[in-house]
Amino acid sequence: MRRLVGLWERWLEVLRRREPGEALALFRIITGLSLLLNLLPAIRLGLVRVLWMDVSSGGYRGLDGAGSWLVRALGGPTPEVVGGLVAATLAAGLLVMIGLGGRWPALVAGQGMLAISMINNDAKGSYDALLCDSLWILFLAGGTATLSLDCRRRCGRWWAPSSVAAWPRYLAILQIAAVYGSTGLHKVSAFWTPMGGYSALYYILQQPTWHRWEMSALAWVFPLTQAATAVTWCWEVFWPLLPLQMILRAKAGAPGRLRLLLTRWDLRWPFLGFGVAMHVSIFALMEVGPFSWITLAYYPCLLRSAELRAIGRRLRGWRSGRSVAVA
Amino acid sequence: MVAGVDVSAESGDVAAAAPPRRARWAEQLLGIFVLYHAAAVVMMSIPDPGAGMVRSAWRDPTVQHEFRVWAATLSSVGAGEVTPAALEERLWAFAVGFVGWRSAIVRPFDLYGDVVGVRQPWRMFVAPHRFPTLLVVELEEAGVWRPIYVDRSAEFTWREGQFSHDRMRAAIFRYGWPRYRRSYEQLAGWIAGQAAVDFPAATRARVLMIKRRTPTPEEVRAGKRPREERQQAIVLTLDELEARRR
Repeated sequence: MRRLVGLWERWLEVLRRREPGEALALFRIITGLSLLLNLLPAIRLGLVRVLWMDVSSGGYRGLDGAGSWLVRALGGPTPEVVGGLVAATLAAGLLVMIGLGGRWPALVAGQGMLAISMINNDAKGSYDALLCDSLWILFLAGGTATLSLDCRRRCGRWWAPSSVAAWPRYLAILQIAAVYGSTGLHKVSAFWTPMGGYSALYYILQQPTWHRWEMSALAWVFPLTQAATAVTWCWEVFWPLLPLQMILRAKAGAPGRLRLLLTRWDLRWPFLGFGVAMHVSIFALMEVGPFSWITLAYYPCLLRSAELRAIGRRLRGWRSGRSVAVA
Repeated sequence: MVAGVDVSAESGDVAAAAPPRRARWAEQLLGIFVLYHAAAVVMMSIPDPGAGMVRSAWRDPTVQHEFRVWAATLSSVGAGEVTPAALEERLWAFAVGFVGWRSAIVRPFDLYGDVVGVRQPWRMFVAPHRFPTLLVVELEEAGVWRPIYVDRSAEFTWREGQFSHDRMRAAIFRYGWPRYRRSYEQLAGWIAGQAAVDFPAATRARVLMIKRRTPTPEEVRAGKRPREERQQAIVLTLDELEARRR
């Protein structure tokens, strides 16, 4: 019993941790932007009515009884309800991105996105679910302590050295580990394994539903797609081990040869590097909506504030170096 | 703390803003809530066969091909003579049991997942579809049929923007499977309705899917193209749609 109480106290100690808010702020900004990228193309193409309204209101399918608890409570996906939800979600997404209004816009945007995406289950993607996860974490976190309009109004500048609770960022790390680990474990097809010749990515990139253009040319670089298949599968399946390694590395000086071996290298950089390359490739080659951006929003959460600032300095240096070179 | 590790607190570069002191009970509640949320995320991430648990979908050539590959592999590694049919039966029984077990595990988180929207449906690119479908829309004008839209075509691009949007693509991808027949028919009805407006001279619309096995790399290099099959054709009379609209 005493041991349990001790564990509980240590858990509460973890929840009391504070840290600078840049990682969470970047997570918030990219998530807000991703929400806009999720909704605006559908609005521009006139798909709000087609996808999310009943056939009696100009939609393509019957949607009787569809939608989240909110849509049902509002009386179903009528034009007024859907229009209102889209407008409110879009406005809340903008507030999330610029960081105005504290945590509440994230709740409105999350519930709005959940409501809209659940109306037509045939036309939703995993990115809708991940976006809702992100917005729920942002509601719990707040996330407007710095790099936000709230910060500007409060301190007169965009950046402030205020501290935020660390646990929402830990939840973000858990969430992205769950996404990658779970999607890796779902990939039970032989094509992801040596039995299918590691040919999954080759065949997926031939699918007209997802590819940006006809990609039969990949047949001439088939071994490259095989290598990418093998690495992608391993990277996804082993992703949940990354947070565990981070926890082990945080306990520096703890004894044990195995621990020493497991914590010798900082695996975040290869994992993040491959992840960025993979998501940029997905964006370049496939049309899967804003999934890549919603996922990449989680990446700053894996870095410490000092590391994010160092990256920012390097980017600024690179930009000014380029301007000097151009001049 | 080891440099580069980010799961511990950083205090060195935080100036003022002392952490807000929470009441003890609020801290305890937060502790319980965060644990519950973390458990929900982990449990709901357990792979879910979900939409794949439709026996008719298992008869699709893509799925049958999987059974053949796995059966051959199992036979070759000394698991006895495993036939694709026997493997399918065993897997079905296992999957039914697994789905039941998973449902029981995630039940305490169902309401939370539904209301807050933290369900974890990460069933992405589980397997390449070896026999994908392409949506085709054709019109009859003066007794002659002509295509107006073909998926991924540069030539037949009627309402291409709408059909190419990732949400529409997701729906069209699903409608290549027999279990979505009802929704596919509704989509065909909507397409015909739009065609009646955009092409007043047309008399009928035909919505169909072209199904084609994806060529292997060897076939592509040899210039071979697998045979296409036109299926799921639905023909609608545009006059009727127009009249219904009026």
